[in-house]
Amino acid sequence: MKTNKLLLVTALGAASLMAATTASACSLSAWSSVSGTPVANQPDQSPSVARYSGACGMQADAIGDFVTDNTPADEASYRVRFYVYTGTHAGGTADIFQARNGTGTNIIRVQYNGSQLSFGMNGTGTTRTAAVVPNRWYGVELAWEAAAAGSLNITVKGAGSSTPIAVSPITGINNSSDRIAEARLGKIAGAGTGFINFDSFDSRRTTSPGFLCRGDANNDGAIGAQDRILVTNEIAAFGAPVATGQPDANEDGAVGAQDRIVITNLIGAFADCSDV
Amino acid sequence: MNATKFAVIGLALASSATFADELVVTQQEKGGTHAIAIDYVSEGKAAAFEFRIEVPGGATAKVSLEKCMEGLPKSHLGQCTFAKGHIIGLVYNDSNEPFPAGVHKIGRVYVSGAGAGKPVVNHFLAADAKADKLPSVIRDGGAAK
Repeated sequence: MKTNKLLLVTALGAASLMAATTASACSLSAWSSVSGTPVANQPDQSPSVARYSGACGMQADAIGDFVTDNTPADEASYRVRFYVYTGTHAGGTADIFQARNGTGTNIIRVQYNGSQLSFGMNGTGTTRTAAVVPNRWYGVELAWEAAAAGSLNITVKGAGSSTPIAVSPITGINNSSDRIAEARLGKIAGAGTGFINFDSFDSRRTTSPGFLCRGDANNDGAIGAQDRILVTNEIAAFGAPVATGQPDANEDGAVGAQDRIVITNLIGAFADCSDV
Repeated sequence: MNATKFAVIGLALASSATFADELVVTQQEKGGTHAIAIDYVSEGKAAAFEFRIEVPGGATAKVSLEKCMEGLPKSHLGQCTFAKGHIIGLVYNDSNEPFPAGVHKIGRVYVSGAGAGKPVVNHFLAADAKADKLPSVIRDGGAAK
């Protein structure tokens, strides 16, 4: 029996595919619902929205701008990966990801305050943090289990570094009755001003999605001369998303000469996707 | 080293009609040092190309890359590095202009202390300005004498 559940692997990716045929087709329609006014757009459109992969990203400007996925079915095991661009958010702590049960209790919660991501789970006041900087992309991967000794494993990697930020898991929590029925992504609740971007949300029941290959601009699973060419083309296109993969190799929210340098260096180091 | 011999072999191979970009590699071994000449037969479409030469002895081999890209035309830039037991070559143009058509002597690398085996080119890829892969062939230019 196949136990993996690909909930929204292309929630934003689907918008990217649509964008290939028309210049303004970024959409949040793959999500169950949209609250507030988050914007799905391309980097070269107005408003410009930096993306991590594909053509489109989602930008949340105000508290209350978020999307919801209600396809989880009272899951006792949940894996999720998303990319967050820390943007200009400051002046308060905002919930940027919530996994909730059927009555609206937060089972997993990720917050951002302008300088760190913090992670918590229901059943304990223990939280974990990862120091981050504004205006950089970070990949966040969570693995949660409901059990007599339930756990939340946390992996954060970004800002152009191949080394994950060290974040200890939360373990040994008796949360065997907890279930996940809904996931929210955006500036969901809390305080603070400034924008935050999101991209490449992927959630499953048992298998961790893993991170995307940084610098793999053509998304072929390798880093090579073709990726450098695509970044060059995207620079020449004044930010129009030519690349279908992950061209923002230094994860600074823009595709430019620095990304070409990073990719050149990765080629020279014979780096593969497991190295980045 | 017989530079003339390298050139003759490369040109002879290029004279056979092909519809693929070719990386022609000619090797000479003398006194435990492998001299590898790298020629490129361009169809005039590639904006960039890359190649990898696996070096027996891996990271412990002594590799000289100073002349690896000495023959590049002015239109293109390039670099050679040695990582994970491979010589890695990358040639590119920052405007994705095509590499000139014809036969080009790209450069030479030298490998020593690599044991009995000879270096092997195990990857060559040329891509056009849209990043589409072009037919890319590795051709053994034989051993120079």
